[in-house]
Amino acid sequence: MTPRAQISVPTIGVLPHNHRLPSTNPEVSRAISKLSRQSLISLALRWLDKKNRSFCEPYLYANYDPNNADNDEAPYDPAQSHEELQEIYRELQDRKGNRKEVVERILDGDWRHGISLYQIAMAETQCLLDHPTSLRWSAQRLVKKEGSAVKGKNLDIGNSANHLPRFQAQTFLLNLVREVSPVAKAHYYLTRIKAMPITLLRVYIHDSPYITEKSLQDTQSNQGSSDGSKSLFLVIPDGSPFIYVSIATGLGHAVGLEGRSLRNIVLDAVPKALSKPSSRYELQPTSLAARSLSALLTFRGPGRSNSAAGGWSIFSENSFNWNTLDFAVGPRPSQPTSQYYPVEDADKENAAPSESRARPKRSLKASNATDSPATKRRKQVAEGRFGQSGIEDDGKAIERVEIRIDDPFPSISTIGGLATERTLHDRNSNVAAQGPSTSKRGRKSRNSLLDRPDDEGARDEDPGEWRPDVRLSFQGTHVFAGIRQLVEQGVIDGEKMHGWMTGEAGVSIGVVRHGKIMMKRECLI
Amino acid sequence: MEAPRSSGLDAEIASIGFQISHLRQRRSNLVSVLLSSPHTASILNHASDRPRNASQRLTNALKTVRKQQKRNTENIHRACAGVTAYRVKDPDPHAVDGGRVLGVQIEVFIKGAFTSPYHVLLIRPTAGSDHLRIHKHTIPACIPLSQLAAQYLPQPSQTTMQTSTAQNLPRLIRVLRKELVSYNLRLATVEDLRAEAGLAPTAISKEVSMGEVLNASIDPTPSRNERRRGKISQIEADAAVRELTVKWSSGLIARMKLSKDGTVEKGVARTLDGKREAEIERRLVGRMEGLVQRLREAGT
Repeated sequence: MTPRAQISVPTIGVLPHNHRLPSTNPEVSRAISKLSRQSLISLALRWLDKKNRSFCEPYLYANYDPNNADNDEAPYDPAQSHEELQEIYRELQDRKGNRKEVVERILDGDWRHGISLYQIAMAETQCLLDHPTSLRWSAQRLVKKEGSAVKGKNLDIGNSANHLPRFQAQTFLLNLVREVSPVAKAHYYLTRIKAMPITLLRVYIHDSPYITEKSLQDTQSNQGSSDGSKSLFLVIPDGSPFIYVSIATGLGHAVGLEGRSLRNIVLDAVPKALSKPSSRYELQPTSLAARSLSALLTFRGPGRSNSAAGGWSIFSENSFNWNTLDFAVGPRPSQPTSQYYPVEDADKENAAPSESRARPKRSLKASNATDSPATKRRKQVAEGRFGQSGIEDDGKAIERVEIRIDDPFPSISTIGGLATERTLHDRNSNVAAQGPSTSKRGRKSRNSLLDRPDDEGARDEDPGEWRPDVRLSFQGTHVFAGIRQLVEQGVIDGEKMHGWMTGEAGVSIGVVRHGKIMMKRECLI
Repeated sequence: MEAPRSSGLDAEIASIGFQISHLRQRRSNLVSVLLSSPHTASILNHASDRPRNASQRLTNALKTVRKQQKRNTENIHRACAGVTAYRVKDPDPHAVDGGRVLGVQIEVFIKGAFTSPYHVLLIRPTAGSDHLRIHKHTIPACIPLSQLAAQYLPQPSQTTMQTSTAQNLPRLIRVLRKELVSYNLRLATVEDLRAEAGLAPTAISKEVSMGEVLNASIDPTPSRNERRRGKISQIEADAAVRELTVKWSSGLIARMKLSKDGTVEKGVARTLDGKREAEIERRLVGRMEGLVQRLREAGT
C-alpha cells in the first residue's frame, strides 16, 4: 500500500507552514543571503522558540539515520535537543565571527533537511524590516462600490455605521484563501509589525493544483529561480482605507507575464475578501509609489497628514500653533519660526519678488558659504512653502515623481524662472525634461500612464495656444527635499514655484493643469 | 570607586537639569501672569503718556504686554468656544481664489489637557460663488469626513452651479467635532481600561522586530486548570476604537463592538476550545468605562 502522503489530490487548501524546501533551493539561499549575521542568529533563535518550533523543526539527533551514507560527510553533528541548539546560537550571538559561518550552520547543519515555508517567510520579513527601502510599494485605496440605489440616499453616518472596511486578520485571510485557492495555491504569512501600525501579509504563490510538499519541491526545481516575484507583500495599515502592495520588481530581474498574472489573482481577491453583502469594495490606484513605508504612512496612512502634505504639513504637525493652555509669549526654542503663513507676512513676501529672481544662475557651492540676508530670506521662503516637509532625513522620501504638464506653452515673456529648473542636476534630485521621443524609447510601459487621452486634448484645445507634450521626471533619494534645497540655494524661485513642486498633492505620478495636479473628484478629501 | 562617583555625578547633573527646567517654567509662568495683570498695562500706559519717559525699553514693554493680551484673548476663545476660524494665505501662485483659505480649528479636551487641534481648510473653488469645498484637513482617516462633507457641504453640480441642498458649514463642523471628541474619548478610555487591568500603555515600540504571527495557530495545549480564567492579559482596540478585544491568560478571548459614544453594544467570548462563555458575554454589554470592573465581578 502506498503511504497516504504520496497521493496528490487537487484541493483548495493552503500550503501548510511546515512544508520544507531543500536547503539548496535558490529561493532559500536568496532569502538567507540578504540577512546580516545578527539578524540570522536572532532569526534562528526565534525559529527555535517554543511558539514557532512546530513549524521550524531543526534536524536533531532523533532524526539521525545511522545507515545513511551522507551522514559521514555532514560537517555538523545533529544536536540532542532544542535547548542545546538555543544554547549554541546564543553563544554564537555573543562572540564575533562572520556571517558565512552562521549561514553554513543553518543550511548544512541544523536545517539540513530543508527550510520550511514559514521560515522563509520569516526570513524575508526580517529582511524587509532590516532594509525598509528594499521594496517599492504602491498605495491603493479601498473604495466602496455604490449601486445607484444607494447613492441617492442619505449616507448613514449614525452611531453604528463604520465607513472603513472592517479588517479582522483571520477572517480576511480565510476569505482571501477562498478566493485565491481555485486558481493558485499559496502560502500565507500574516504578522503584526511592532515598529509601525501595520499588518503585513506575505503571499508565496505556488502555481500548482496540489499542496503537497512533493509538488512544491518539484515545481521549485523545474522553474528554478526564473521568477523573482513569486512572493508578494501586502501591507494593511491600521484604520485607513488604503492597502500597500509591493511592486513586482524582484530585485533587479524583470518579472515575467506568468508572475504578473499570478500576482493579479491575489490582488483581485483582496477587495473581495474585505467585502460583505451590500458593502462591496474595489481597489483603486492612488498615483503614489514609494520605497519607504513611513512615506506611505504619511501620505496614505491612518493619521493626520494624509491630506496635508507639502507646505500644509504645518497643520498636521501643528508647528505654527501653540497649545491652547500655553500662555507664554516668549520665544519657544524648540519650535522653528514660521513667518510665511500668517496673512500679513505672506502679503509682504508676495509683494517683493524681485530680489530672489535676480540670481537664478548662481553656483550651488558659492551660496553655501555665507548666510547673507538674501540666503536667509530664501530659507524663510522655503520654510513657508515646504513647512515641515521636504527635510532630507525625515524618512518620508519619494524617489521618483513623474509629471506631465498639460498647460498651454507660456508666451516668451512669462517663462522666467521655470526654464532653469529643467536642466538642473543636484546631489539630491536629478531633474530632466523628457520630450515624447525619449520617453517612447525609454520606460515606455510606465510613461503610458501619463499619455494624454485623445479626447481630452481635443476637447478644450484653443487653436491659438500650443500645448507641447512636456514630461518631467524627478529622481533622487528624496525628490522634494531636493527641490527644497534648490529653493534655498536660489535656483528655483520659491515664490513663483507651483504648488505641486512642494509635494502637496502627495502623488508620485500626475498631470498638471492650470498649475495644479489634477485629481479625481472622489479622491479630493 | 570610579563608577559610583560618576553615576552620583550623573544623578546630580540630571537633578540640576530638572530644577533648571522647572525654574524656567516657573519664570515663564510668572512673566505671563505679570504681563496679563491689568495693573501692568495701566502703569506702563501711564508712564508712556509722559513724553520725557518715552524710551525704547518702554515701547518694547508695551509691545510685549499687547502681545500677551492678544494671546490671552485668543487662548480664551480657543478654550471656551472649542472651534475657532482663521484666515490662511496659500503661497501657491496658482491657488484658486487668490490663495484665500478659511481655516477651522477644532479643539479636543481630554484628561485635563487640550490635544493638538485638528484643522479643516476650506476654499471657494469657483469664482463668484460662495460655495466652499474642503481643500486640506488633518482629520484622521477613521473619521468619515468625506461622507459628512457630502451631506453637509454638497458641491454644486457642473451644469447648474447649484447645490442640491444648501451648504451648512457650522453643522458640518459641529458633527465633525462630536466625532473627534468621541473618538478621542474612546481612545482615552481604552488606555484607562488598560491601566485598570494592570497592563502597560499602548505604544509603538522602536524595536525592529516582528510581532505576533496571526495565522500560526497551534493546537491549544489543554490548560492545567479548566476553571480558571486567569488574568486579563491584553486589551486592544482597532484604530477607530470601534472594536475591542480582551484576552485572558487562559486563552479566553472576548471581542466586542463599540458604538461611537462608547457603549459596548454586543460581544462574543470564547475559550480556546471554542466554547462560548455566556456569563462573560452578558457582562460585556454596557458602558465601556466599567468594563474591567464588570469582568472582574464575573469571578475568575
